[in-house]
Amino acid sequence: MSILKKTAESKLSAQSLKRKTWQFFMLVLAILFIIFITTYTVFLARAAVENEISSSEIAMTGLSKNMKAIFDRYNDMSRQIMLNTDVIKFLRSSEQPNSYITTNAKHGIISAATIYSFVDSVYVYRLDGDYVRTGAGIMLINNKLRNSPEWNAPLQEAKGGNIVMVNGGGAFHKEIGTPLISMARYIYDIDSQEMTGLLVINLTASVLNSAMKDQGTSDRALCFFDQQGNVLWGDETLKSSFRQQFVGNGFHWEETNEGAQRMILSAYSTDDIPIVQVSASPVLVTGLKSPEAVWIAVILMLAAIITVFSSGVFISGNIARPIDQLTDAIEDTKSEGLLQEIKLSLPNNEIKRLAESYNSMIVHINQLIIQLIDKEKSVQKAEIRILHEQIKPHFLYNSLETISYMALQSNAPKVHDALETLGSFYRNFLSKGSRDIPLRNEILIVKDYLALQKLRYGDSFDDEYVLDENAMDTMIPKLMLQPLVENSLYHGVRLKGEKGIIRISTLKKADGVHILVYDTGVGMTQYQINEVLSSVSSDDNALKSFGLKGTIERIRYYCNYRETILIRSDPGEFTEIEIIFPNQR
Amino acid sequence: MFRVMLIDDEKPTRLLLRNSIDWASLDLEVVGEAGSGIEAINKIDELRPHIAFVDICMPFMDGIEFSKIAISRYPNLKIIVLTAFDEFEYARQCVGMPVCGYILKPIVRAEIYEILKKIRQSMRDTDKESEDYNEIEPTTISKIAKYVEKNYTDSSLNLTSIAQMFGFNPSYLSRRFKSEVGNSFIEHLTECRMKKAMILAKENRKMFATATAVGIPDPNYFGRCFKKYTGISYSEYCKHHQVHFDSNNY
Repeated sequence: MSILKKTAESKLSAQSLKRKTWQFFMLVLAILFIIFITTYTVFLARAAVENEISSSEIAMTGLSKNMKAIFDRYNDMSRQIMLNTDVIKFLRSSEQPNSYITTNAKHGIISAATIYSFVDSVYVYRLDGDYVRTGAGIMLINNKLRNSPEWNAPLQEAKGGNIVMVNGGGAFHKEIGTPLISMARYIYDIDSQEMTGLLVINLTASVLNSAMKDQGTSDRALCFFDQQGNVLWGDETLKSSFRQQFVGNGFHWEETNEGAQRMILSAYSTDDIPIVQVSASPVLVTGLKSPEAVWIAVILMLAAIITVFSSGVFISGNIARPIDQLTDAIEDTKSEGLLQEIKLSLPNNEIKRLAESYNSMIVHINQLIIQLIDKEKSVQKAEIRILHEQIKPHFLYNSLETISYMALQSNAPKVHDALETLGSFYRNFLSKGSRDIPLRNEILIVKDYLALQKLRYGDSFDDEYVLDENAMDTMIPKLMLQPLVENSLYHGVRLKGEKGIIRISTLKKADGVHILVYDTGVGMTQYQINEVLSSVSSDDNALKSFGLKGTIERIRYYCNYRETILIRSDPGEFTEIEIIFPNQR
Repeated sequence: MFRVMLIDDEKPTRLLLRNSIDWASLDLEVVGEAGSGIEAINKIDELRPHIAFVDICMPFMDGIEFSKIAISRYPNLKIIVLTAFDEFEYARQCVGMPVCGYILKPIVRAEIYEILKKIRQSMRDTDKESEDYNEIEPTTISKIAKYVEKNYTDSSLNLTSIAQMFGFNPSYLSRRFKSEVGNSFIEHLTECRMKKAMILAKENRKMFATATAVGIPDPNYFGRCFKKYTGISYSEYCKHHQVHFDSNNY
């Protein structure tokens, strides 16, 4: 039972090793998958950011170019104004110009500007401060600033080129507060190349809208600021995104988060135009999920799965399965008697060495078992010798002979007979401590025993012997028959209360020597027979019938537990115990 | 009648053997006993037994040694060994010796009868007495007597060894010795030994020492011989002569 249980347990643990291996590989696979996905995502995100930055740069430089193109167009407009004859007349007139000249000049400006949109107003100043203007609305002009050297310095440096300013560099403000983009230049006479005046063209900030037109329909938010951070045109939501370091710094970007959405905030500004472009655009990963990338991911994933799976198969095939086989083989070694060595062809690796060291351990254990058995045997022999010593047969025999002679002298021949029988009984009974004796001697023991018992119980039984001379030299364990006869006497004949017969028969047959003990006693029930023959002893009955049961155990042990004992009985009539000693012993 | 000798250091065993067996029915007669091998060797020439029961385990000379000597003198002697089981090692030494049978102790009459019957069948009545005579000169007898008087301390000295030494039949020598000297050979030998023993007793020697000194190493047998010769036991003799010796001194 326990062996079966252990087998099951060991198989379970072997399986669990297999399962554990698989579980481990599944875990590895999962971790691998997560790492893969994470890495992919991170790289993708980084690529998206970079992508967004570069697209922002493209957008911003594109915007800047557009803006410059716009200013170039208005540059053309300013040149047409300067070349207008009426404007030139106004500038060349030496004295205070009359209203005619002024009006003509005004119409000249208007005709030059008429094909251009977003022109808020145009101012043409003479050196003496006289001026003509076009445009509607109230304009607040700071003439003091306009005449200051600081304001004029860039214009002088440009030598007739246009300078772009916001709100005329602070000199022009719309009364209603809308911002203006101003282009100012000195006017030089075509012939004399003398400076004759100043031209200021104020454009509404919405002119910048046309610069944004090419930017398509992306999610990009765009806004134009002046250098102080005031919104000129564009998406008002970016108002708070202005930083002072954007100014005059070329392309600049930074990453921000708007809620969960990662954003790229970029700015562009150059030294020649005092306008700062700012854009904000979300980082979008979707744009990068190309089919190739997906295919690569799938292939890498498959490769990882195949690798893990095949190593799992390898491990279970090379480790788990041989260990299983080894476990089964070890189970088989326990079959009977001494432990057997494993005979199993295993691959020449650690597992084979395991089997080999198991085998060497088995050899060692077997040696120990044999040693133990030998030791036990010698201890038993010594104990028998000690017992025999204690009985001191010499003393016993000499005493018996002395008493015998005394009986003879006292004319008590019966006492002499009894003592002689007793002496003979003990002589055979002790047999110099040897374990096995010829059947002949055992019969003598029984005869003497029954003769002595007859002295005690008178004529309560007769003993009969049917002996086969061929069987008499068979060696049997000493005191094997006597307890059976004792059992017949005490548990058979004596209980019946009437004169009985005890018959000992021996017979040599083909299968061995048969010894039968027959008595006409009270007999045994089938239950009692089974009880006596069963190898398991209940403690209660063990004491009661120890003689018979112990003897049966001894005989079974002697005959290697073959079924050699038969009990036949008719309750109230007879009991017959038959023992068969196989030939080879 | 065939003669039987019982040799065992246990007196009850000898007595039991002598009394429990109906010897006459087998045409046998117990002619003597001995309590040791030494005693038996000394008596055997006088008793001339046909059958000897010999205990294996005896002091001073065990049954095996005795049997060897006895057989060398009397090749026709039938020896029955008495033994207990644990003396089997002794008994094994008897193998190769003409021992006729083993009797296990304690003795069972049936077994003894069985062996005796077997032995009796091998014996013939003519074996009872078969002696041939050689002429012995009276001078030779006196020579032998002198030799004995000189060498009595040798415990192996006996009729047969002397007879062999001088080349005569022991039985014939015995009769001639008696008729010439007046005493039998063994009486003469014992007398020599006892005379010496009495001298030693007067010196207050311990009995066992005296016994060994005069050639009878078995003090029990020596004691019996001494008492038979002097009429009193050795210790009494010592006591008596001690006082006498002491009074002489003063």
